[in-house]
Amino acid sequence: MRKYLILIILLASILPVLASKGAAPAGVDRDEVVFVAGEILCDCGCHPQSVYACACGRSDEMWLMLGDLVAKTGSGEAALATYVEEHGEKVLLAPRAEGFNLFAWLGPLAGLLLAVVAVILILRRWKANPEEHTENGTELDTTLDAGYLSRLNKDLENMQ
Amino acid sequence: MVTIGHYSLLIALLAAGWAVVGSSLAFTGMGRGFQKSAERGIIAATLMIAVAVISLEYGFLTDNFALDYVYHYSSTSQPIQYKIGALWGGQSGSLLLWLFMLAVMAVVMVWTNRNKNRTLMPMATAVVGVTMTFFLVLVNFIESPFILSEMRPDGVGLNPQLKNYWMMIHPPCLYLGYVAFTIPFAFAVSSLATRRTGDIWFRTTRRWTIFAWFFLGIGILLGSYWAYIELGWGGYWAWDPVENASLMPWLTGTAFLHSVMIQEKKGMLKVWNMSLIILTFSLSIFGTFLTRSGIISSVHAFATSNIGPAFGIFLGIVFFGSLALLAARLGDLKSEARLESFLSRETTFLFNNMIFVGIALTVLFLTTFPMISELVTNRKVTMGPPIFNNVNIPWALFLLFLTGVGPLIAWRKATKANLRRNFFWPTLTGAIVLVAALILDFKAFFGALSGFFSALGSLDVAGMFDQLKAVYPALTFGIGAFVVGTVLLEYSRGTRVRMRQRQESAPAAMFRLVWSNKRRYGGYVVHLGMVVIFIGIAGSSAYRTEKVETLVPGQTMEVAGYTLHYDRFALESRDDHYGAVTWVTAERDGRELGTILSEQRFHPNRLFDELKNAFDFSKALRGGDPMVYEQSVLRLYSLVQDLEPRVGREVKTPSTEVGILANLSLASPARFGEDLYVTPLWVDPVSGQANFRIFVNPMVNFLWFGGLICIFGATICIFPDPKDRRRLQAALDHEERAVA
Repeated sequence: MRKYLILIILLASILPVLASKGAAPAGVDRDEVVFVAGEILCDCGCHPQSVYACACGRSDEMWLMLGDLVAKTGSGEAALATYVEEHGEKVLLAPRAEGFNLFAWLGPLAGLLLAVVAVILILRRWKANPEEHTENGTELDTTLDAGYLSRLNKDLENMQ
Repeated sequence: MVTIGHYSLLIALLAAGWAVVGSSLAFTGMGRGFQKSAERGIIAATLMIAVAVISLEYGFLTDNFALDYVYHYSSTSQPIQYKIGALWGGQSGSLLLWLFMLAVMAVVMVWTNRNKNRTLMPMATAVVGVTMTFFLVLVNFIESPFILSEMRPDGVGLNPQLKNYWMMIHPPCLYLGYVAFTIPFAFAVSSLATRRTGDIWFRTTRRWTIFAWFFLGIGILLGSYWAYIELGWGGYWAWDPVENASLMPWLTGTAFLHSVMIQEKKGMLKVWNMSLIILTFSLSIFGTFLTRSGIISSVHAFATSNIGPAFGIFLGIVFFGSLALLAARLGDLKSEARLESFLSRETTFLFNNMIFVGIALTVLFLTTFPMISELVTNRKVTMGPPIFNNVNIPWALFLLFLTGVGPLIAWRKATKANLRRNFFWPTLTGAIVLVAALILDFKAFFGALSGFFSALGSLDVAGMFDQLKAVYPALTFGIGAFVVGTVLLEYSRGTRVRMRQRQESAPAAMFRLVWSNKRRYGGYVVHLGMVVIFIGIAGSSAYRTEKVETLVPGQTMEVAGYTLHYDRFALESRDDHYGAVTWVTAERDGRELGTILSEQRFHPNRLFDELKNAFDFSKALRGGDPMVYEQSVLRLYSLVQDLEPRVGREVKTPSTEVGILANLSLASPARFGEDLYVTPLWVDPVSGQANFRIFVNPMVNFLWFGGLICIFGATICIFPDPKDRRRLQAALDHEERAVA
């Protein structure tokens, strides 16, 4: 019986480590913890997920730690700022859209616009100045290029 | 066997090296005999590589823990299928598998071209030979799978997350995709080198390209499915660097498959097509470089090593060397036709290509941004899912729209009548669905609108992107309906024409329509599959419900219309793990839907004798007295708890087995395709108290259905087409005559 009691006590001691993401520390608004946990990267090394989204054991530990931080700082925003200040911007799931990071946020969009403009310019050029009148460089190929000969034969057959 | 494996790789290196030398001599015109000899060199190398693979598998199956690779990725208790699959569980084995696949493909290439393409074959053989030689250098001198140490009683075992049926299929599929792009790349380089820049190279390798695209796509899909059922976070794609590495060549490969049609039909975009195949092959290599070099961390980089510099050098040679050759041959790659109108299929394809390549480059840019940021600002940043989703979704929706426009718009020049005739009904259908979706979710729509403008006012870029999320599902459904409309219109028109002209029944007409033009109609099926995939992604991302709750056996909880009853739990110890199994019964509208089994597992480290003996003892008690068996599992929990502080490290690896109840019944159509997804975050082994994380993922199964539809469509495309064969033969005959 004593053996069982020891076992149960031992196992009970595991529970705090495994504590749930469902609960927040006493006196803390759970939504505030969810906010911070949604912004911070779980450092377990699994898929890049927020502490809130990740399903690993490490995320549970981090959830508890962030809950304590919210309790200490008074709000999710303050806890987030404290945590980022302490560990650097890399703990955020995505970089803030400011400074050099704007390249990451807006670069692809700017790239899209530039690509659209480039495609339109290319199309205009192709339409106005077709490339089939090539001055040089194709002489060698016209005698040997099978693709060209194939098309030429087809066109000649059509003409006949 | 270890010695045989080791030496067979050395012999393979010599044979592949000879293949490069021989084919290069044949290319320089020193005699066709050299080419024949080089081809035999490829076959010999392949046989030797096969011997190495068999030797390593033999090591796994006989538990030869003297081999470092077997020691790290296998254990005595590992089920046999995972012993076989452990070949690609780590770095050097993955490289060996990659090499083996490449070698087999090289043999197929040599065999299928034994009596044709004699002009292109020497350089193509040399390119494939160089790639094989590179991998052989890696597995011989940098990452050998045949490193021996002292014999050990047991091994560390495969990463528990990899012990999954789908994980056994997913990496080989991905590798098949990556590797198969080598053949079109080799022929492209050969056509540039030989100045035969016509259409032979892509006609010869068309099925290789579809094959590569097909398997890369299946690999990506299976990887997503594995993540969904194994990792327990309820999602399937997290923009992890390795996931991105597989997506990038798939995107550029898809662009190539489309743009090559323009070269085929119009003789245009020759430089672009060459660039795309170079980019696709380079990205296949780049993915491995990115994740194995350690410059970007990834969950998938189960083993990083020192192969990074070697990959970097090889990638540099491949990419810049090919580009230099392309630049030297620009004069041979002039377009043969002109663009007649902006409103034409050519224009649509150009935009389609722009988006595919744009998304690929965006993914590349964002994946490497942490490195760029550190170089420029000396600050480390993390690129998680939010930024990838925000930046890529608008591009992807535009692409989906073009999927509908491309097939119906006319080649050369679309007239107003053509546009009206082809697009009226699909556009109307899409518009109705879009408006209906917006009305049904009008609160989110107006909320997003006001949120967007307020974020715009405060110049909050991330906020603006976030607000747009609310409109994406409606846009996806609307555009999806438009695309489905265009595909159905194409099928119905073609079928009706055949029915009228050849007096065929509707099913026969449709079947023959597809059979007579497999690439075109198979491609439409793929488009349909993509729409279904988009719908699955939109629905499961936007309407997901999540709840975390702690229950003891006998308690119930409510989530998104479901009532979940936690029935019971049991402790188990089997195969290579111990842990707790939970039984949860799901009900909806008072009707029992089924019982969901989920598990929290711990994989004990068998290198600790005390733990190993207790674990084996517990397994041996399975099937006997349930009380004694349960006590033995409880003893494992307490032993681990006691052992870890003593040895100062974890002695077990946790994992979860997710329980999923899929709604595939049409009895409740609104919930069709929905998953009820249960993950036990922890289970108290004494009381059974468990912390469950429940997701209700609407429409998620559309993603897998869409994947199956794509596989079906791609299978139609990949079937041999006599017309394609005749065209290739005609082109080859012309070339033979011209050379003669």
